[in-house]
Amino acid sequence: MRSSLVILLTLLAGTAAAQVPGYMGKRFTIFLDGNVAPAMFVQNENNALAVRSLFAGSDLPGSNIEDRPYKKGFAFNYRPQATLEYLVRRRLALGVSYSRLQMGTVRAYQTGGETSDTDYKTDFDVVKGMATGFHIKLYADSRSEAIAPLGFYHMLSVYLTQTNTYDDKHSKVKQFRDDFKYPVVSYGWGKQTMFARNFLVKTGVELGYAFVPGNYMKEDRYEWTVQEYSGYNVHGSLLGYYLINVSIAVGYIPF
Amino acid sequence: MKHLYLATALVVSCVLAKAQDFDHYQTLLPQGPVPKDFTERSSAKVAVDISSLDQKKEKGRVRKAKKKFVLESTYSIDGFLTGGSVLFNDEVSTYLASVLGEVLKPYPELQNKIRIYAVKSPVVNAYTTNNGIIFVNLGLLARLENEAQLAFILSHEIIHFQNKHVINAYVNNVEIRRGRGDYRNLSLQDKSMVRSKFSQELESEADLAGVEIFLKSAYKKDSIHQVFDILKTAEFPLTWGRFDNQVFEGGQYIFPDTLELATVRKPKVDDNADDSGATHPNIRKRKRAVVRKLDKGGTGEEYKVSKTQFLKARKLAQFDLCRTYLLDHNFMEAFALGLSLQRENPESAYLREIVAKGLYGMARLRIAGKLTISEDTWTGEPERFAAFISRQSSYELSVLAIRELYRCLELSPDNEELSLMVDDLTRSFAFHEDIDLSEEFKRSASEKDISELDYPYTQYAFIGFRDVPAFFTRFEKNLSVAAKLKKESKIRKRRKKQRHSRKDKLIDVSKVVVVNPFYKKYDLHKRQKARHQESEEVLVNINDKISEAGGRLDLSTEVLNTHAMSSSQVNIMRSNSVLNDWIDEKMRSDYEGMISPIHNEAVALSAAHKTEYFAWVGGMTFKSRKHAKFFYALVGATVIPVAPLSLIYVGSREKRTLYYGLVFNIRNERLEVADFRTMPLKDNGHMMRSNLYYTLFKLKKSTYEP
Repeated sequence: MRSSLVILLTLLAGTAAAQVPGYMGKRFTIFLDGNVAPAMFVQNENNALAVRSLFAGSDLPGSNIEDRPYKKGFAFNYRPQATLEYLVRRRLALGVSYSRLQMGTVRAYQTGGETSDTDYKTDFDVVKGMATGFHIKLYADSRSEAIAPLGFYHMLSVYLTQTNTYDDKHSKVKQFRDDFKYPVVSYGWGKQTMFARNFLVKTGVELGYAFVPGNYMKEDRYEWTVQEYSGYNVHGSLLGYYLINVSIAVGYIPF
Repeated sequence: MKHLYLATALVVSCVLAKAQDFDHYQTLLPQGPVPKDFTERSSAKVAVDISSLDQKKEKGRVRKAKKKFVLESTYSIDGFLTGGSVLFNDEVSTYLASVLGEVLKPYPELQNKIRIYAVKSPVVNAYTTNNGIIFVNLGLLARLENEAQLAFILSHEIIHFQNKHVINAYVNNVEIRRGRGDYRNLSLQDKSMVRSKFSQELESEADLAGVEIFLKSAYKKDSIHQVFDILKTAEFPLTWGRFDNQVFEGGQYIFPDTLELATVRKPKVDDNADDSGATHPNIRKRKRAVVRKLDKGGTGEEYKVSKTQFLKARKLAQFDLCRTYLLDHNFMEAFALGLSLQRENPESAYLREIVAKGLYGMARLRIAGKLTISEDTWTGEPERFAAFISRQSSYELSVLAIRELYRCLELSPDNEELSLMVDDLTRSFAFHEDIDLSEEFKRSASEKDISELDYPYTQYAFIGFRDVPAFFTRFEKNLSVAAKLKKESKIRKRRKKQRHSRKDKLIDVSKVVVVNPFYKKYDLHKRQKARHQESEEVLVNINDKISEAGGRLDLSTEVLNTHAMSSSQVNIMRSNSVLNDWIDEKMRSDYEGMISPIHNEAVALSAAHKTEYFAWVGGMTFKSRKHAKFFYALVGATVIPVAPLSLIYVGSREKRTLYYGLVFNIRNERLEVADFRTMPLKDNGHMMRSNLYYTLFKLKKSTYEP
């Protein structure tokens, strides 16, 4: 504790006298992000295209997806996020974030006896949860100069996610006893411009990797139990959810 | 009666106070209320000019070309007007206006349509704009022999305006370039020839019709053909009399004969040069055509307005040209003209300093190995000036320049500019030479001569000063500074990068003056690429942004913005003129630490504006079409996850913003901030604010070594 305090104080002392112009001397930014991703890598009840391509022709449990009342169209997942960011150096910002996660998953359940291999049904559930993160943002780009927080950036983030599955997005009843807790790392690239006084708009892309157990990718899915099927689907959803996101955010620079 | 005497005395004293003292000449600057040409917004001028175009009978493409011409030329001329080199209400421009008035007496309808301004340029030229402004360069006025010659030149320019030559030439050039009408299927070479022929026709028309106007005036006709003789020698240096190097000698400091030229080459003047491809017919053709027409004319007077005023205006032009030559780094021209003028003005401190500064510039260039003197132009008597300089080694020239600078400094010890030049040249000289200079010069006449010198006569260069010990104390000090610099540069070469020392202190800056901010917007996707009106809008409103950025840093700001100026703000134009000259010279100079020839003028402005820090800021923004849109659309359609990104890419335009900010300390001529940025982002007011803030922020955080 004492050593972390010393590190924090040293960091603050270092940044207090740093030559950081910010925007007109303002260095603190609040962002509201909606990280948008097409529902390709993670199922979404609305995503006809993705769901069809994933399940078409399959004899897996739950492949009777054609019977499901999905909507036709092209769906997106999103991850609403609040970010606080502070410029500690001319081109370097540190930030923390809090985001709400919500994505689709498929749960299997048995309709026949416990020994029956065939009496499976599947149901669309919702993975919900939150993530807290820390990031380092570097305002530098080989083809441009930046005056942080305006300009192009590269960002490295670490998140800790905590999720569970629910019957639908309004439900508050967890379907797993224990939450899924996995770290995520991501790399982001994009640009920030100012559209009104002190208001920023951020556009970019974020590529992430969720450190979920990867056994579902190696094991033969015909040998999964219904529990494994449901759990592995959550892993897959989380991995797909973070894999590629379009970062669109609105920011405000209060001071 | 008493009151009458008092009033007369007041008027006389005012006139005397304003009159130019040629011994301590002050450069020509704009005076009085700023004319409408300078204050009116370009967009308003464009609107008026376009509405006044008579286009009913013209073809669509001609109408378009004329509109484009009005737009481009108005913004371009306005940029020129506010650039600092155009004079108004000064003695020269006022005199030019009087002569124009005399020529236009028979043409009352033109009197209110044409304005005339003098331009601080050494180029022998006068030119007219489509909206009725005649510009006369000081380089032309300085060479004229009488007022009648000036009147003829103005008559020629009046025809250019009256017959709308500028706009017609533009439209014709567009037609030729695009191969329309009669110009279809022409090769590039043919197009060039046709363009040249058309331009020559317009010039001939201006000459001949100009003669008609001139003949109606009361000026003497015979001297007009001499105008063409002046044009014939326009490229030759402006000097007169025979050069005598004795003016630089003193005591035992006598130049060797090798520096003198026994004979000079005859100037090669070709008045019948091949003019195919040129904009004007050759001089012989023009002269013959005009003289033929003049035969019909009667006699007249050489001066109608005033001979005294003409001679004074010409003298002012010649004095000012010396300064312009120095600023343009035409040191040889400044040196030669300064010496020529000195014959008639031997007591002029200004000319003495011009000669010394010319030598300083040439010595610095010679040290850098970049002094070039054209053999083609320096012929005839002027060749003696050139030979005197070009035959001297870097060592000899440096000694001569230091000697002349110090002689001037002794006469005006408070002259900061000369003092800095002496120090700078001594250091550069010592830095460049590999020998110990302290042993190279005699310190008194009684000292024993120094033997084994490459240039023995130079050892006597510094013993004629009024206070020789004071000179050598300064000299030694500069040698030790040079030695230190030499040592540091060797270390720096090894270390490559110089780091800031902990001892460095923040500079104390409380105010900065932003000089004539610049901004241009381009949309390369559109037919009219330069977005003049939008750019002007940004510049008109930039003062608030600068003030806001400065305010956030507790920095007081003043903006010399010619785009937001009223007629009473002549001081903006005056400061702008000097400061733009100063920065142009700085940008031209790639010799580290070279002192500006108008250092004192800039320092005087520093006192007037109560700060030493002056900033030049500007930006350009480009919008263009993105490349490979189809490819990105295809990728988006095939790889669905990247579809949103490809959609954004395909739907948007390429944007790029360039920004620069330079802040100088005028007093020590040090560049405190050099801020350049390229950002692939769309520019807007917030971005501009941020860029301005950052430049000023850097200034606030600049340090110096105590």
